[in-house]
Amino acid sequence: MKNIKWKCVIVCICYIILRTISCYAQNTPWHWILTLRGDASRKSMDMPYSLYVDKATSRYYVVDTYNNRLLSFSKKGKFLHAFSANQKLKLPMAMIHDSNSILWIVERGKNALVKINLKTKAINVFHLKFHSMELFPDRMHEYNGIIYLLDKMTGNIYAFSKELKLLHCFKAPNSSLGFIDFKVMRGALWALAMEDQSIYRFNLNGDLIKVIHLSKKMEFPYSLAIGPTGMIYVADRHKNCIFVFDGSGEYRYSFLNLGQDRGKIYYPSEIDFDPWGRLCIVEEGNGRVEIFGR
Amino acid sequence: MADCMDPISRNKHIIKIILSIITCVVVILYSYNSFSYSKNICFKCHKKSQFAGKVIHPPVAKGECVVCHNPHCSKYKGLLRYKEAELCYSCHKKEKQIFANGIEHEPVRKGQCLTCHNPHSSNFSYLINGKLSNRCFKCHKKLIRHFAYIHPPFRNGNCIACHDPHHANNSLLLKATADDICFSCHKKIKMLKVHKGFPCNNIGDCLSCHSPHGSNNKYMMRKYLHKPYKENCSICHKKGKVTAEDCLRCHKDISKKLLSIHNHLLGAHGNGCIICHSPHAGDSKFLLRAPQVLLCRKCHEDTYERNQDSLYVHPNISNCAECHQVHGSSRLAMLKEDGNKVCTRCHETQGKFTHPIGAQARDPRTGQEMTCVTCHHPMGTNYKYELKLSGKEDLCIQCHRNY
Repeated sequence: MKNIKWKCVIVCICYIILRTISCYAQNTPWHWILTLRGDASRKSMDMPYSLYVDKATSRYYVVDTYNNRLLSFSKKGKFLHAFSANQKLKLPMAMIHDSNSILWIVERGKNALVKINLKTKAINVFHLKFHSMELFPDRMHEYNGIIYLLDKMTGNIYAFSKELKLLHCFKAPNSSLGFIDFKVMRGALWALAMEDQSIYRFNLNGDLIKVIHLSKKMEFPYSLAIGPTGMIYVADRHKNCIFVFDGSGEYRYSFLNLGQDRGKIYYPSEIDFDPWGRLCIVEEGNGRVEIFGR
Repeated sequence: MADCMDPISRNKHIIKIILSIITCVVVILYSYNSFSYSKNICFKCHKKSQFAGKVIHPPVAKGECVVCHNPHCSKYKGLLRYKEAELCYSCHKKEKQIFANGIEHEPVRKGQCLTCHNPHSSNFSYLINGKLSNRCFKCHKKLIRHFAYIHPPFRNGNCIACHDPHHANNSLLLKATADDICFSCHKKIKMLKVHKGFPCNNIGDCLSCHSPHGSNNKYMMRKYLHKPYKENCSICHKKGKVTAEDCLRCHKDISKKLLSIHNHLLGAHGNGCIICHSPHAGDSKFLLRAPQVLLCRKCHEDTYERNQDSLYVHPNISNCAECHQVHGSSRLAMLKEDGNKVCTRCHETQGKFTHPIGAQARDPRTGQEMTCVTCHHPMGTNYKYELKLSGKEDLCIQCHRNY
């Protein structure tokens, strides 16, 4: 019995040592934890674009864009459910699930924000406008009951109340192309401008607080995430890697590279941290979401 | 003091001094000879007249052939001491640093200085290999040169009036932004007077109407005019800024394409259309602001940089729109169709008889549909048939791991 215990201890130590070595061999503290892929019938995802994590229910929701559906997974990565609103979804791009059992979905095929009440099954389609100009919603996040939408037409970010009343506008003063991605957290909005490779930090009233110039030149910065310690993570869609910068924009390190195997990425479309501090990478090219931990 | 020395030690001392003087003279003469024997030896065979010209490269003028050439042997052509650019940059150190920033001219990037410069002598400034414009047109053969109205710098072959021949921070190797270059000669105040009555208070974006090289239209207006521009400016310029929505009101076919997963609505404060298209006039039917490949490169420079030195590249790669849907696509990399259909339009045989592809064949690593681009990367690789890895083994075992 004692022998078995000792064997177990030795195996555990070996595992920890090997894992540490393998992480440092890649010069990164990150390691693969799990992968979210298709549904129970083994239908794989096709061009997933974004991810929504519901902390209250500990669920991941993946927007499986080309298959016109939303997939939900448990925290451990087990497939739970597929939702297509009776196949009415048309190229969903982003979603949020609010506490009132309401799904908000950005649908590219309709160029609209769609509100689905899961209790009453009522569906409302909204075509958003700003100063009589039609908006082209792309990415979407919710923070303290406010919906934040990135408009592809202008590259600006707009804040709406749940009644879809326009509250604030976030603009990039130095970038003619506007923003490509944004995150809202800790009372601030962080937006990535591809053109000048900078992060713009706003307060939630739309006032620009700081512009962080990223010190390392990237090829095609496409998505950003802010780590629990304030580090900035940027996914390079063409270089297929993640660049890590400190809060002042100084380059620290990069990790991951192009490939189809586990722990490799291909055309990342969004990165984000889940409530448990794990880095989630949505890969359009490989049709999956890979989740990495430290 | 000398009187105190005995004659033998005094002689020894004198001999020592003479020997050191002779050694110094020999060393000086030898080193002088090593640089100047070309004057005496090299030019015995290599006629000096071959190196004559209005401008002579300083090492040649000094007869210091050995600065660049090894007189005995070398692994480089012309008995050069180092590889072409490496040799040039050994003296032109500043230039090396400057050229490293921004977009490099193709010969500069490849280190082919001698494409434009003569290393010995030339009748033209900067040791250019012949008249500047002739040099440029030798590579830029497709540029139209004959117009009814020609821009004087273009007519005079003064390409470097607007373009930097080595590197630039602007596309098309422009020395500054197009407007800044125009207004450096055509003073803005004068231009405002000439453009009186135009709906814009502040003129700019000159190239959206004028061709910078020449045109068969008066005032060097571009060949194709946008219909509303031709008819009445106020069709578009009603109130405030003209947005993409205004463009799409007429171009309805394009607005449908924008309802795809990926599109080229590029922000641009509301009108991404005018990043690629001129709203007024253009030299192509689609009023593109530049030839397509240059236009795409403006944003996708990384794609070109990554693939330009690949050993195997798909033919006609510069025609981006052949495979990519430029306005919007729901396929990866904005391909026109899926990774099979887009290839089998031309590669018909491979579409019928090949490694299993399509919905029934799944990539075991990802569960994704096998397509041509699972194994090939047509933009360029270092493996035959633009394979992603060596076709002998490495590529296959990515999936067939038991073999």
